[in-house]
Amino acid sequence: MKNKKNYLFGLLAIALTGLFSCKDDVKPINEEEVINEVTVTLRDGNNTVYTLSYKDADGDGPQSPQITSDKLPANTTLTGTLSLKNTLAEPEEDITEEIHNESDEHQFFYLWSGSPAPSVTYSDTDNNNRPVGLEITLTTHDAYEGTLNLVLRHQPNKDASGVAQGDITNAGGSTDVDLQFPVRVE
Amino acid sequence: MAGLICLFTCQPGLKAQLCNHTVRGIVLDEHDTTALSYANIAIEGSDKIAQADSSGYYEIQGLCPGTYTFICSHIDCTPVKKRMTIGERFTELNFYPEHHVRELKQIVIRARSNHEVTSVRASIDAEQLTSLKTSSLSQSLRTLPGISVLSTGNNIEKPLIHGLYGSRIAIVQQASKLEDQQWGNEHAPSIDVLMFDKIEVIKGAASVRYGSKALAGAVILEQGPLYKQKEARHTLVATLQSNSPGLAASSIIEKGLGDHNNAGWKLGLGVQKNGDFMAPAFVLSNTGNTNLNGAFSIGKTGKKWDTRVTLTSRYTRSGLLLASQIHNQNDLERAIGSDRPLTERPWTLKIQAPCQEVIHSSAIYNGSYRWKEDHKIKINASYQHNNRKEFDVRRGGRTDIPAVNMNLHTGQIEVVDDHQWDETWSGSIGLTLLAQINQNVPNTQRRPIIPYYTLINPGIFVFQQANFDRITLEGGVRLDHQALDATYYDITQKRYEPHRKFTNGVASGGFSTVLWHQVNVRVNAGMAYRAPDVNELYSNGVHLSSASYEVGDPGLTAERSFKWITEISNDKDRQLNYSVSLFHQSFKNYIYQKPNGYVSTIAGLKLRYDYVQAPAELIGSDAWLNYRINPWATLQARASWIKGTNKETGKGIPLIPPFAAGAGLEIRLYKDKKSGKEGIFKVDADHTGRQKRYNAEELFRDPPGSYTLVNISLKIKGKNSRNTYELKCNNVFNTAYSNYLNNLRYFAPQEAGRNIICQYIYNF
Repeated sequence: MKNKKNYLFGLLAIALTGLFSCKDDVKPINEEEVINEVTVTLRDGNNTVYTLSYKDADGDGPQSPQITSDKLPANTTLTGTLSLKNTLAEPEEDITEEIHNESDEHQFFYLWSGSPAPSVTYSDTDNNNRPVGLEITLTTHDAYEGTLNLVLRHQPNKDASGVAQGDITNAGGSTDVDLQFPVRVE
Repeated sequence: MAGLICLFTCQPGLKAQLCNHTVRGIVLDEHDTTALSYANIAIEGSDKIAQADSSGYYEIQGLCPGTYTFICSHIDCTPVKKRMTIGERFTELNFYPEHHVRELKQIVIRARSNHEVTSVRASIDAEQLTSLKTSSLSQSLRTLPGISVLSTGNNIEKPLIHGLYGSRIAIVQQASKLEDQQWGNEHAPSIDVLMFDKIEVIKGAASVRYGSKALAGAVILEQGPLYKQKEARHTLVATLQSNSPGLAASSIIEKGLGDHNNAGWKLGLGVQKNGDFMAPAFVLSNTGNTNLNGAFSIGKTGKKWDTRVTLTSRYTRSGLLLASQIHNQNDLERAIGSDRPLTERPWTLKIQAPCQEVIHSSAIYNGSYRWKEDHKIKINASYQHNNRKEFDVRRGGRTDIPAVNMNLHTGQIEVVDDHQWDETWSGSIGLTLLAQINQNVPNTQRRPIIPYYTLINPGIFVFQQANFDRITLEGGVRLDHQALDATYYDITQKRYEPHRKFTNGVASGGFSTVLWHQVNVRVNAGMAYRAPDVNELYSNGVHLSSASYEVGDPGLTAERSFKWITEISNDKDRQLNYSVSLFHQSFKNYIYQKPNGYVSTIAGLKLRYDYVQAPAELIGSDAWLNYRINPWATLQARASWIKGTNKETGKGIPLIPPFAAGAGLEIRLYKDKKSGKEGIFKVDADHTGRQKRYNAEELFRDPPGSYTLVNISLKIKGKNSRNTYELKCNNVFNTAYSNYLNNLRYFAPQEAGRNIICQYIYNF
């Protein structure tokens, strides 16, 4: 019967030595789904480029993001494209592509404060002919100073009333991106 | 039934020399949970024999004065012999648990095992336990006074004892502590009640036996005595229910081994599949559940050695409410402002992300060596593996990749020396060792919330008990050393390898006594230091299905708890049976999560929660009574109340159960004594109040209002209880209510509605 006890202690000893051998195997995780760069590129008829850009070098880390925005010309129609990136992953991830591939499940909303706010219409559609918002047409009006709130909803209800027109009220879903760009129209 | 305890009680009476003496008494199982019906009580060298009835009562009449040896034997017990002199007209000879009610002026002789008997306990009776074979542990425990359930949605539930949960409660199966990432609010205990014949909750103060993690109490699950008969014994339980629609079935087979009636095995299998729950006004999308359980136990009782090995494995896949998948403060405000969940889908059996998948396996060894009649060495060892996967709704086809994937390995061993020194003194000394490692499977593409860590925890405890005529005194101390080594990376990929060491003590003491008319008083007090958990120290990141960002504090110190509890109760077999208990628990450095502004992320603002420490206090009371109006009707009533205070803010502590009270009436429609055929109707009403003590800054939404639920049931027992049919209806009036103790109440303003349950139990 003594053997039984010894055997048990032996098993435990083996288990214990097994435990300590893997500390060095702990490696940092490559977080591929993070979004840390968002750029809205707007072009006028003359191919002049205006950008709104958000960059956060450390993702959710303690550093503040850098947000820059170009002044936009008044009473102009601009074509816009959206680009999202994860520069923290190795190699860099193009999130735009991911959203494009899952366009049925995503929609961007362009929400403005104050007036006369620029207006946005969707230029792209998903497989069900519903808007996505990676490509837009932005029309500025008179001089304006305010904020563009850019929201990306994951799994929104695209059939809900107003959602296809860019009204977020009934969209539901969860928020993947929620950014504020200061915008000036002159 | 290795520790079956005998207790002799004699009542003074008139001296007589005629052979008209009577010995009578009750046979109850070791922990006073149920009467041991049909036990045989024989007198050595005589043909006099009696059998206890279904309530455990027996009587032997026509005895002459003299000294006899009584033998109490029961199918599941080692026979117990006791010698006793009969001089009185009536003598009571009870076969009782270790500590029980004793009459005045009684003579007490006992052989007891070393348990913390002055602790206040509550247990589920055997019959109820059989009908709970297809339920979860938390559902099984919620019927006990002072126990509530903390839930995350509708199928992830964990027990709260006197307002505390998680790492402050020890769940102990076959003498081994369950280790399954119990720190998380949304982590249900990975345990199935299937194999266990006894479930008991210790609500007492710090337990020397189960260590500092039991500072709020312990849930003890044990298998009954080994079944050693040649004929196999089967129990089959099948349950069909309407909300959430689903089916559960479990089967238990027991059989003896070999020719010597000293070995046996037990096999338990369980399966459960449920779809989405339904609230009165909407479907609670993605709240389905799948469970698979298997357990096998084999054992042998020898002259000196008792050995048992138990293997268990459990697979659970639980859906989390679809609407709970939110990512920022705006989403949360939208959810709270809505009168239905933000995301709904038609009813289905399917479980999609967000969901959890947990596989828990364990191998447990229980050995006991009888040195002498009154001296035992017990060896308990176990290995447990817990794999926990959490799936999140993710972009880029990553939904099928778990966002959390952890492997927790735990080895435990304890050696306990139990010694009965004499009729008064007994005690035990134990050495324990726990070794644990948590590994994160690297393919998650998410920074793990819990780091890789190793934990080594040796412990030693000493426990002493003194049994005087009417008073039992006990006390013990325990010392634990914990060495915790973690390895993790922060958001900037910087590596950390913190080491923390904690040496903590637990001390407890208590006494119990009998006043008059079987009034039993238990007083128990204890102090314990609990070392902070890994999540409290090192978590840093977004927690699944919440809009919050959790930040641990690597500098936290051990929290100290001092708990005192008093219970006044009487014996179980009385017409009026009651228990009233009162407790007070004070904490120094109570660890909790405190909101600390917002973290700005690309997905918007997230609430930041920091782990902080503050002095805290809990005061509470539980009471219940059972009154047998007549043989056909029994009235039951229960109430519990807790007041929690953060001594720093003067406000309430989060997740303290609100006042609850209930009453029920059980009516026996018919009973045939010979065949055991029986019909029972029961109606129950449970009222839950509104939690009025809270800190508005610590909650997203004010606590919901009070509600009352009515449940009815009809139970039909067939001949010899071979077949039992039960039809139940919970929440008869389909009341819409919101439960304060549901972590997901922000995302669905109603709990599940009416549930009709059909259950069939077959014993053969």
